[in-house]
Amino acid sequence: MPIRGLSACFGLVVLVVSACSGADPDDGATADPSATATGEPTRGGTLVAAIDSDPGSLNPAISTSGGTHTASELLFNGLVELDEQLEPVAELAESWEVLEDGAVYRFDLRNGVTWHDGEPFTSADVKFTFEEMLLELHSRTAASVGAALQSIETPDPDTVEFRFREPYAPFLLQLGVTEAPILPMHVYEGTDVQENPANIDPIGTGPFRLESYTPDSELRFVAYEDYFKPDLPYLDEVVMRIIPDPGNQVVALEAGEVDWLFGAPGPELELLRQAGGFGFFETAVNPGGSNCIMTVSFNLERPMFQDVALRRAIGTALDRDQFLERVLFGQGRVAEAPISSGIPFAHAAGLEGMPQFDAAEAEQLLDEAGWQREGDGVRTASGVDGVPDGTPLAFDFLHFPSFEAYGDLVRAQLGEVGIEVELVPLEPPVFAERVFTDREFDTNIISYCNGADPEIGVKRMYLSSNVGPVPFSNSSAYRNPDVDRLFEQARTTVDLAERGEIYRELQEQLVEDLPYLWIVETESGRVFTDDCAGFGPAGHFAETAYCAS
Amino acid sequence: MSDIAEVAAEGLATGPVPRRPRLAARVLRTPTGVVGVLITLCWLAVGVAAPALAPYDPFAIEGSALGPPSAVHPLGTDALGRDLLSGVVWGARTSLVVAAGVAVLALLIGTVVGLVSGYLGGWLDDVLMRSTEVFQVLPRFFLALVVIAFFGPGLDRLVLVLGVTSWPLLARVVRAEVFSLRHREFVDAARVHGASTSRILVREILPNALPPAVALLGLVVAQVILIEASLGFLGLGDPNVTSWGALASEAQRFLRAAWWLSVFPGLAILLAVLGLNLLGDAVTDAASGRR
Repeated sequence: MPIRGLSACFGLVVLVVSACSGADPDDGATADPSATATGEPTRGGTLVAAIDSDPGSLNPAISTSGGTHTASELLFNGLVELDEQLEPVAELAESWEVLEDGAVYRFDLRNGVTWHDGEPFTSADVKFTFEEMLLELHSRTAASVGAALQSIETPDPDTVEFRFREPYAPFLLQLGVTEAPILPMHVYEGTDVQENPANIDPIGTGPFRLESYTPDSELRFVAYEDYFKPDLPYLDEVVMRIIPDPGNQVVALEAGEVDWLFGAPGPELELLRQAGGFGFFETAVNPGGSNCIMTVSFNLERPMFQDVALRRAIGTALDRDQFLERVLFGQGRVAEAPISSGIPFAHAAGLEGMPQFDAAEAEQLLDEAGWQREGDGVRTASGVDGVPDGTPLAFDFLHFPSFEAYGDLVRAQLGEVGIEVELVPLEPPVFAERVFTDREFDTNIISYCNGADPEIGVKRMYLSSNVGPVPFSNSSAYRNPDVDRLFEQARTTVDLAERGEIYRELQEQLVEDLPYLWIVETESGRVFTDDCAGFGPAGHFAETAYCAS
Repeated sequence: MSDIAEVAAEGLATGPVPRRPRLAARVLRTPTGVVGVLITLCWLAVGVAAPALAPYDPFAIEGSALGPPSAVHPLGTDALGRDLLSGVVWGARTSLVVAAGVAVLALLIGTVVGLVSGYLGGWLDDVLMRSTEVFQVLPRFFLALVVIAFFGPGLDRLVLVLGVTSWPLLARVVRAEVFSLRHREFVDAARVHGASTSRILVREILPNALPPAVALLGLVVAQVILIEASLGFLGLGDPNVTSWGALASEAQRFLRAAWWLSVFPGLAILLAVLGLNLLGDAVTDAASGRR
């Protein structure tokens, strides 16, 4: 019986784990990062991609789940995508104007776009999708655009106009298929959008349409013959096969059963490199969002963590190179600033206040902060504000089960300097409730995805108005009026260089206060058979792909 | 899971079992028994002496990432650079703690229920046996899963949930023994001498009814070790103690890159369970007079 139980539950656990760890595509950058097949794109053929969990829903407008987005983005389009340089490129919108210093955005929609069922695409679809889905149920877009938007007007079927209360700078960066996919009004109007059958039998405008969906097994997509981009897609068919275990995905790739993996464990990647016959590229664009930073939160409502000296000592005790090397196997970078290096204009490199690893200095900082150590044991308080003398320097560390390696390393590294860490693995929904609703934790680790603009995924971590029950908001309960003001200022500044200056000032303040520790920026390594080429890293990874055989 | 135990229980329940004074000697006379005893003793010793035997702290970063077995790290290191030998040694201690806790609980409950039910009989017997059946059909593994899902991972609750679900077979075996013993001459003699019920139960019947239950306990404990390892493998073990199952689970990600991570924890689980099963079989055979 244990064996049967084991495999039955294993499916469940893998599903949950992969839902939060995932490694897949997303918005932005349709490029050709690593062309390995030779010659001109050939037409036809089938591409088989491995995905690690059943998507459940195929509606990317009402969820930010990585599984859902991975499996559904081929079916849809946003208004504007981003190229490799994060420059906006036309998608469903043919052109656009930014008016009134960035408070009004007017989009001229492409003519002749049709839904997979033949109905024409119009501005009403855009308005409907924003109002009924994105601003209600897509957590990132609802939090950023939703908070600033005043109205959406559709003067005619080819024009849509977004009016903000004040200038809103990053809007063009948030209109890709990940942050703002457009869904058909004629299918959803007058229904409960969360229960609509189209959520598993979707109608989109994208390069592929859904042919069949066999839960827990595979999804088949066929090329949409009336796709609005001429000549695309090249492939006839894309199959997504659900293979939960990353090790098995690699075996399937080697056996030729699968052509494309969204990610592979570092050491396996190395073996594939040595074997030859595969193409690779790394990307920071991921399913839950792009430009993610693994971030340690301190619960600033706990007396112990109100002292910035302790937070700085902990930051100094953490050897972040080891995280990059042993947890990520080099797939990523050490985080050098609170804002990801994937947002070049806002990333502030070379901040002096950023804690750097130095075990001896950490010990000294701990001594000075009043945490004394005898021998090799756990440190105890003596003369720390708000903490009774003799309190051991021990705290819990909440994490998703899939992030256990981070916890193991934090425990080992802090153990060296006399800090005791107790790991508490929690499934994502339980984690969210305990951290953001109950606030029952000392420290935790979260993958905060910054997105293409700080407005999308950075601001939510720091605003004092954002402490509270919304999942993945301000986990540390950090409150600083100066920081609030700077974010406000950055949001309404349209000039990119000026915004960059504001973000630098902001990050200087953040590394001084250290409400969080920014550990590593994560990337995942895509792998594919070198018979194929032309992949994008993103949701439309197969739009421009082609295979030789 | 209970097939073996069930068969063993039947074997024990049928036929009168007179007291055999030199059970241990008879167990050691068979090769199965010798191997079983050796492996089990080994596991016990490693578990008890883990702090002295483990070369490093099982959680500390001591070497390079994914280092193969070497002189410094005889079983290699894991992805974070932790010593695997230390992990396996401390894992033995974890499995031992769980197994011992469950064994004590199960033996205690099973013996009391079996004695009372078998000796007093009547409506009490009915009630106790029906409730035994209820516990017997509880799927232990899933119950453990549910408890851990609700209360979080921890050895204490694991011992508790497995302990209170592992006793029914023991109770039934003890009850069957008591049935066959309660009207034997030496019991009647005690009764005629005016001994109290509790004295008869504890002094006359218990020593004779216990050996078959102890034999069965080996098999029950082997199952407990498997359950503990399975939970660890599913990532539901306590991450603050090292467990063989958790080690094997982590190894999956590096199945081809680092064979040692899967092989050694797997071997440890295999050996411990094999040893206990061999021992249980040997004791069962010896106690029921079979060879």
